[in-house]
Amino acid sequence: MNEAGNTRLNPQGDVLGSSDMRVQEWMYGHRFTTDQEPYMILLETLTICAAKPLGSSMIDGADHETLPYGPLQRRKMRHLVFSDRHLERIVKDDRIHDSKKWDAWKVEANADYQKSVKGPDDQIPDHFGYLNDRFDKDIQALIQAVRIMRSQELDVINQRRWTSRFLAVKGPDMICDDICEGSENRDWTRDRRFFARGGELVYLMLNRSSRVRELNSLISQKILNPTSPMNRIAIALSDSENDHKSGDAEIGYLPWAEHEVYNQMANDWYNVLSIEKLPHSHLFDPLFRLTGLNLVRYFAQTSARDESPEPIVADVQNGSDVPFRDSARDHFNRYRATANRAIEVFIRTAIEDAGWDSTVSQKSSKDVSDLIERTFLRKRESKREWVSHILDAHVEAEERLRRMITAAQKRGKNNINTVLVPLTKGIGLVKARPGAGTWFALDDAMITALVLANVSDTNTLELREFVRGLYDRYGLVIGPDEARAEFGTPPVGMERFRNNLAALENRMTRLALTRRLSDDCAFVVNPYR
Amino acid sequence: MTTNPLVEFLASYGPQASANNMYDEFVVDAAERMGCQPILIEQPLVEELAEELGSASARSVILTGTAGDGKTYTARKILERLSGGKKSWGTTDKVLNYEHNGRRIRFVKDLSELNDEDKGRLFPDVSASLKGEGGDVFVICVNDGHLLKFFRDRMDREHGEELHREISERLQRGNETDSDDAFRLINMSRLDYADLVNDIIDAVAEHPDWKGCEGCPVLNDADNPCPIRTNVKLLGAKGDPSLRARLQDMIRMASSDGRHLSIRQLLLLTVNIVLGERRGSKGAVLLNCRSAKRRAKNADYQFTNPYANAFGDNLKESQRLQYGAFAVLGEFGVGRETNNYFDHGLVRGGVQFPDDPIYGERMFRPHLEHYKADVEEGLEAFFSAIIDQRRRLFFSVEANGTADRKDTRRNPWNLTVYKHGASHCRLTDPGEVASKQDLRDIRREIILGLNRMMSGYMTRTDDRLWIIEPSGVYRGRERPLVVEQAGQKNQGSVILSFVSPTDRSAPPRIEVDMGKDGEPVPLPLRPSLTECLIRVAHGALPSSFSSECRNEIERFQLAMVAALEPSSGERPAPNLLGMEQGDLQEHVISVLSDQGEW
Repeated sequence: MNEAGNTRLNPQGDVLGSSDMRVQEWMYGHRFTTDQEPYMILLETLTICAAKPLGSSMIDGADHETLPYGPLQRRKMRHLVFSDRHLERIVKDDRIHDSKKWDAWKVEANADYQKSVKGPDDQIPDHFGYLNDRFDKDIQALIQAVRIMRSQELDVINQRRWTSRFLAVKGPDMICDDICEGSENRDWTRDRRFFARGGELVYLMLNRSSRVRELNSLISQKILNPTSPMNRIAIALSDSENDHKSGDAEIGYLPWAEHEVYNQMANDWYNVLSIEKLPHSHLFDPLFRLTGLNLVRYFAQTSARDESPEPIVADVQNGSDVPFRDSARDHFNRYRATANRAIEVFIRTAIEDAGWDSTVSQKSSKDVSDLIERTFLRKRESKREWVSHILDAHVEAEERLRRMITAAQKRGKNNINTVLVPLTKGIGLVKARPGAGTWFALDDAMITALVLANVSDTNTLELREFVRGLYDRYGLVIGPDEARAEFGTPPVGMERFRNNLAALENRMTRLALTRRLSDDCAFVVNPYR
Repeated sequence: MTTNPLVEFLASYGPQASANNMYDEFVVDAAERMGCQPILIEQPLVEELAEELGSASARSVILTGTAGDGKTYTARKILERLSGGKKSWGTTDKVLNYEHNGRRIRFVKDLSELNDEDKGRLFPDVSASLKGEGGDVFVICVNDGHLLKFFRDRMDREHGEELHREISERLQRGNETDSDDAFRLINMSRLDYADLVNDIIDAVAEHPDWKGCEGCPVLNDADNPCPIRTNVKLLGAKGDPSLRARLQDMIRMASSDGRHLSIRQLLLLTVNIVLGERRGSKGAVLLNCRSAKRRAKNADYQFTNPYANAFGDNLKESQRLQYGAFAVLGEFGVGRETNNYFDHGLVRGGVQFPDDPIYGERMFRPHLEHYKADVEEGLEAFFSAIIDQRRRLFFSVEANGTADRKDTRRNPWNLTVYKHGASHCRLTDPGEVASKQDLRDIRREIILGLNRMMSGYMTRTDDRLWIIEPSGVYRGRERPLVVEQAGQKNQGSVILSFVSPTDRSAPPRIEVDMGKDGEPVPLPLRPSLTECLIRVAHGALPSSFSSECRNEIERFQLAMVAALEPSSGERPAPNLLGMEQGDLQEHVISVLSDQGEW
């Protein structure tokens, strides 16, 4: 299949096997979900980078990369950090003599861990024996290390189960894959709730960009550096020799061999990763926001097909200008609606290409259903109620197609229309308020990320050039010049765009990101260059 | 009836209803019409540039700056100096050519006034000159935005892109000139304006045409003197405390916060202090000789109060915001801020405050008595009267005298939002007023504030800076890690120093030399950051300050941590931070400590 002169790659093996439909899969990839917050997308990408460095496998003609990978599970380290309840208690227990505490804790910890590996209770091995030498049986040293590692947990307010809690990635040994504990006699497996493959698709985008080699070396040097102090603590807590590895599974499916956004995203990564004066531990925040923004653009550009993608009319006045806010809300809604419209176009085009007209006019009603099923659905789904509703032989062919379209627009997973909400919220690209709805608005962290990626040291960038660059690169419409470039008739008066731009400058000044020289000239400053 | 034309002439510098972009020319005109000497501000720059332009090694000069910074004025003066006063600048010439020693010097009065076609024609000559390729020499007045646009619009022409880049960089770098530079770029907004307000005040207060008042009956009236001349006298007073000294402090503080006031704004402010007349809702009113006499006759001095005029009280709110001077000075909150010491002193007495024969007790007492007699009836007038008095005291109580320094309640900066404004002034200009011990105290307070903000502990450690790494964990908990300590020279390899700016419009700063090859990491101490740090040192909670201050401090931390991060190899282990009895402590992370040593 061909779209906008771009090749749609052949999927490897049965990578789409777990997907009930083949609609968004063919359009955007397999897959994006609402549960995977943007920062988890980046975590997942880094997980793959640690298992298979970028550039390990490349597309071959029309064939998709082959990239089976199985990350380490780091069960014991994660048990210590996220699950153990005895360490704190025993350290504080006055009734146990200090010299006995180490062994007392080990007994409890080993028994606990035995439960999670589903071993028999009568012969418990010394699971945590590897710590004896490393900590010289000093329980104070151990609890200190465990507490430090706990302080590295991301997103602490959300209480997830211990196998879905994550650490900041300050080295390869801090990567925690999303896994679920195996039931009786079954191995622990990777879980797809939070690591739902969005990060795999980002990995593939970077892999197909022109900067894949540079990125690989920057990532290993700055993010996956094993010698960072935090990573050294993680190593001390891990039983690397006896660690479990998840079974290899094939990476997700990203249909397009080339896409403008791949290089844009790679550039953003490159620019952020090559900043000298930002400590490595602080690269994560701008990276996941820029990744999310590029995904938003990927969706818009892919949905628009040959037309120009929807702009992002972005409010920076915290919603205080109501007409502007309403316009930013309308644009957000249009953004989402475009994703739904694209589904209909895709389904109708694809079924056309598959011989819809002749099937409808010449073949039986069952053949019509078969064609829909073959083109868009997974074979073994046909028993399901929602599938039989679509394929109902008693309704008109057109009605069946319409039901297919509706089902694709309403589906739970891999539905870009719904994915856009948590994605844009998570990166600080929208704001929501009861009564006002959800509208495109940049938060401080997003503005900072944009400066980090778009202002380099060799570039003395005026504010208006910076804002223009954001329009050219991401379709962000902030000031009057961009509004003029984007719209024949602007959605609100130019004065409001001017105020919006002035508000941006105020906020950037507050964030120490601009330097004003006079009433007519302000420069944007990347404070870490 | 005596009228002094100077009064009317000065009013042309004041807040006028007609905002005028031909300001410089307009004032020249007015001076001629009234037969007054225009206000002359000595500018060493004029002499310097005229000399250079007249020499064999003449280079082109670009004068940039905010409207009202005196770009045209300077260019005009250069021309006068070069020609020995023979050549002057007609108001209609956009480009004026002047032959000097066989070279053509072309004065461009305002580059932005030329149309695109003219600009295009001028471009090759301008760019050749700026690249040092000879030809005509230019003196170009233009604000920086237009200057950049001039080149940005012509990126595809020869030298267009290079010059755009060079000018962008030099605009940001400031005003240092390299003798190798092919042209001079002078940002008039970045000149040292610390003394400028002083010169302007002198030019107004000591204007020779005040002699025109001689013979006026109210000039020497002992009880009800002319308010204009009274205000001129107050304005002209020197030393600390004085209206002039405190104004200088405020203007310098604002400029170290990036709020620069142009010459035009400073003139406007000075004139308004002398001539401002409050007339309720009428707005923008200035005294003239006739109204001044009437005010004097009726002893209506509450309408001519220079301490209120300094904040544009004679203007409507919307007008105040329109003029940079009042917008900037208004942010100090003088008069709205106060403390019990000043208010009790004013209301109950018992405190020795400096008095003023016109604007002090004499004006305040009737309102106070009315208020005491009938709180409800007298409240409104009393309230505005006490604001006037607080403002007067702000300008007339000593800030740096030994007695006042000991009694911090009596420090006049308590009457502003910058309670520690005096400390900021001392840091900016330590030579003038501060004793060594004073400075040491202030610096320790700032280090203490920084340690508290960075560590999150209400510590009392103030002898060195603890460099603490922000965790960078997304939605995580903070667990402070210490990566280094910075002290004085004898305290280790990482050295902290306080630097007073050589350019007095810049803020003082802290610099931390990380003991490596790189540049020291700076923390500019803007007035609000100084205020925040000293208040935190005095017990305020860090979270009660604006995110701007916290952002700046976090950025400072990150820059220091990044400077310590090795480009390759293992990063040294950080330590855990703790506090014992108020002192910061660090604890080694056992598992990272080198166990092979023993």
